[in-house]
Amino acid sequence: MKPCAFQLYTPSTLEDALEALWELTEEGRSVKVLAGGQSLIPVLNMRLATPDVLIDLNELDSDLNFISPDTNHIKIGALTRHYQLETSPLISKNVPIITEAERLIGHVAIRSRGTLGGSLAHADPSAELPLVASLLNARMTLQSKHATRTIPAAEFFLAYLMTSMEPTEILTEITIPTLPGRSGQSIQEFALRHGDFAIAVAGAQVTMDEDGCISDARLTLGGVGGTPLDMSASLAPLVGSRPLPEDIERLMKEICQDLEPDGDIHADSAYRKDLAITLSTRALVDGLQKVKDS
Amino acid sequence: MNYVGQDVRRVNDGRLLRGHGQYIADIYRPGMAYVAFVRSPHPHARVKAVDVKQAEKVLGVLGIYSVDSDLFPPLPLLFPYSTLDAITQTPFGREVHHVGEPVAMVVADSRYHAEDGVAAVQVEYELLPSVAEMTRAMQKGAPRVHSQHPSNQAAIIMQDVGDAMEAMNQSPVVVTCDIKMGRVSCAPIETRGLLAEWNEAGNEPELHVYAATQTPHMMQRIYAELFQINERQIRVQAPDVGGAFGAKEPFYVEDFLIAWVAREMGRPVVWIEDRLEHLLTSVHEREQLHHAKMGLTHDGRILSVTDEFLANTGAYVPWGVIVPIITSTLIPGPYKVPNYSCKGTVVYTNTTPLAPYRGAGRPQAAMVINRLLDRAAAVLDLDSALIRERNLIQPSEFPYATGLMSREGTPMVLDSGDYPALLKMLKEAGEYARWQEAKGGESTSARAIGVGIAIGIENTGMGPHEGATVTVGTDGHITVITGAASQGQGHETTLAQIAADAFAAPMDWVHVIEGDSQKIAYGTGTFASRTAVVAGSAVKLASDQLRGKMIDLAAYLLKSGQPLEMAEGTIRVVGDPTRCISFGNLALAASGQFPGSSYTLPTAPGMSATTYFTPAGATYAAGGHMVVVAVDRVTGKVEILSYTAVHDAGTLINPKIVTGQIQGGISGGIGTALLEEIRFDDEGQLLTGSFMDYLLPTTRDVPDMTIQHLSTPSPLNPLGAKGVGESGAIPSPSAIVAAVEDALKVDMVQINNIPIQPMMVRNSILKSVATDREAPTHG
Repeated sequence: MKPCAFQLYTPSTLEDALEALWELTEEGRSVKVLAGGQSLIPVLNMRLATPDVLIDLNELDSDLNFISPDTNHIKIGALTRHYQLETSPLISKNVPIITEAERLIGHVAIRSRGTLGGSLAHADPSAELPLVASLLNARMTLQSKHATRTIPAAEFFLAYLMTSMEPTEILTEITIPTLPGRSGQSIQEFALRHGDFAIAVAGAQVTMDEDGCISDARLTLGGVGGTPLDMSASLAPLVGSRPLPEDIERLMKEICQDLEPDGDIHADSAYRKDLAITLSTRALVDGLQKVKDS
Repeated sequence: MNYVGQDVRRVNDGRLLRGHGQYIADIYRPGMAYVAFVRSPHPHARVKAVDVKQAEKVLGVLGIYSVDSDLFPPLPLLFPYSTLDAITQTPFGREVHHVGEPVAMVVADSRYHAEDGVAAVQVEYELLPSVAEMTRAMQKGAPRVHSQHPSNQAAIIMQDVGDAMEAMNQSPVVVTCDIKMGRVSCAPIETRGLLAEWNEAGNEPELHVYAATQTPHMMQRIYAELFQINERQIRVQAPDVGGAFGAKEPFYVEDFLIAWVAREMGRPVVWIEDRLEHLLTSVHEREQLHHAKMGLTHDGRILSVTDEFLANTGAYVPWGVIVPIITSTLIPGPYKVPNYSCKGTVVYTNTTPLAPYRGAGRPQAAMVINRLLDRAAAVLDLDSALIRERNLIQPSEFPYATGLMSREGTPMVLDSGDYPALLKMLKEAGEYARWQEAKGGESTSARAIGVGIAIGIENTGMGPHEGATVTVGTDGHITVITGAASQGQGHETTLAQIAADAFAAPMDWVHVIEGDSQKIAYGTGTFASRTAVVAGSAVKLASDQLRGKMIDLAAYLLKSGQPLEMAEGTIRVVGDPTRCISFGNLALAASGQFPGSSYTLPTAPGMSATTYFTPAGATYAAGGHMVVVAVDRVTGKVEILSYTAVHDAGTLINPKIVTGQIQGGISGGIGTALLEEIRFDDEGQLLTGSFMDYLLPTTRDVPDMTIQHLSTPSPLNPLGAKGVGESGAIPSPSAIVAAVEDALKVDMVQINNIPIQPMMVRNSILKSVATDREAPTHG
């Protein structure tokens, strides 16, 4: 469990990092970008990845570690650590689902090192932050030496552990919409132990109109497909209504029908599907409750 | 004040918590080289060729050794048994029998380069059919686990008391229990590790090994056998050891190969097992499949118990078949079972070998008898505590002859205990009546509450012996040396408490040295809940002997015929403290005056005594556990709401340490019951090679516990102590299973497998409601 030899490059500016990534990629060398290292380092130690060069972003705090409010949005630097999101009053006020999600991630040691950008770029479909990014359709800013582009989460997550990032790009910033008025968010997860990757996880955001009817509802599922699955389009029957929990459950049974999650030794496909129904019901009911409570 | 019985603070913790521990990986020897193993990726194969040409060119590689290097004999069999058809592992054998068996080793200037070398070694295998699952291994036409061995059966274990078949036939009430217990890993924080070095400069070669081991003297003896040298040439030292739980008890092929390659290369060589290697090659335990029956009277008195079980031993028998033997003798446990029969079949499979892990066959035994009692209680509509009360051995019945034979072939007799009092304390401490009330009737809601209890006993403090050398130095301080190496149990504190009491000396005058075969001639080791009893008694006997000698010498030197006493590191005349001599001056006097002088003292030179304690038989500890769980009937998740344990370890040396041991054991039991399982596929590929898949309980999974002590001192040793290291792990899985079944009474779910996976619970509920009821809602 020791990594193969690699070169380590620790740039002190984002510009240098992008330059190095461009040059090395052009030379045909395999490069990995290191942020918090909570997934990459085990992968290296198990020799599942054997890059020639590691570009360590950890000196780029001044460029990439920030949480800044904008109109209807919050911009978050990719190198922002989990614990910073977890404890930020700005986040808990404006995107409370991130605060809830952070409490489900790993343990203190992991949250003090792991980063938002690292979690998104790793794109584990059971992880909490890709789910939240997908639910809120966060926008990802991808930079290379020669260009900057911004794409929505829906175009970012392609498949299991695969994103639409080019080998020359670094994820630098994430823009997340703030909680609209009369809205509630909820994340409901099932893991075998606290802090584990989810077996299944559901995130929901519901908005009510002045009459107490649902005007908008969003739902994303994790752990039941290769990427976080955006189920929002199937929630149309809820819009304009005041559903009871059993109505929601009925709809969830219907929309989870076609899921085909992979099974493993801890949770087979049928069980994951069953959990998806339970968790999505719980997330929507909890989201609604939060609007009523506020 | 006596120290024994007090919560004395552990003397080692400051050093360990500050990171100053010295584990194998902290030891450095000049010129040291590092080993990584090439391990078989196949569960059963013949090694046809090993090509090391590319690997030899890898930067930093110093040497490569493989099945081509030499022919070694199989490891010695540690525990023979009459019906055991023993196969032990051969270092660098030509045929590999489980994934992870070493076929080559790369020695390099760092572990990094050694692993680079491993990646470059090419091995050609001829694949052989394999079998991992024990039921399948026993079927006709199953693949042979060892191709030269026609049968996969390792041993048959039979127990018979009375006429169990006849009594079963006559029983008005008969219940059954089928249960499979999952395989678990010992998983200490520190994995195995070994540093070996030969000194060839003297008259004869000398081997010095630092090992993370529970059994330094046993290793010394085996090295003597394997290298054909005398024990005087071998020093095995266990430095700080970071937990073991059984994993560091057997002698492994790596233990031989590292010492062997150190001699081949003429330099110190170190190997530190990584976590994947640990999960793949360090011994596992627990895997057994039981079919049990109990016959009872209408009022719930046991008439007969029969059990047939399969026990997986993996590819070899590194610790004999001790685990299933223990299971077979402990199924009756604390209960009176007048007729009993048990047949255990031990099965070879192409998997990692099994040997004792904390509990060693006893959790399985406790599971069988306690589950049978719960099934009977349900059928007879009796309270589950009440049916236990009706069957417990009574305090007046000790010593209680079980009618069984112990593992040495002597009659198995329980020495002491008070099981009814234990159960009574348990019900009070756990608020049994309140919880029975609070859990409500049979619930169909999403969250269901259940209560479970289980009682288990443990044969502890077994032989053959442990010794102690107690010496008073010229500074008056007392050194205690034993052969029982500590892996974190706190011997440095508890054994010091015993000696400090014997000499009426302050704790910080006593220093405990362990884990070094050169410091004391013989030792057995730390396992099987034995150190407090066996080493503790040896310390007491040696201290008492030395105390007598000190009093004799003091009387001579003080020219006093009056009674003497020890206090504050001196011996003084009772009632006249001015007439005294310090321990230091006594030790100085006993060392002789000066070189060339005549020795005229009435006592033999030196202030030291060595005594070995040889227990007459096991002393039986007991534990009763009560657990309350909430089961989420929608997700299947089990949450522990309350955990209570009452334990009888006889005389407690240090109650806080005993409580800690029980807490640790219960944590392991929670893992066994709810989370941990080593899984292989049908052929024998490991599916749980990291802590992401092998789920250990974390602090969030282990609740606060109420732990209370009952003390019935053992008559079998001078301390009255009983062993405790494994106790917490024994009744815990059974109590948890009982609580889950109780919570799911409405669903009539029977738990036939542990660990209890949420998926399994949910599926059982769905299957049950499919027939007669609506499924619990998803909300």
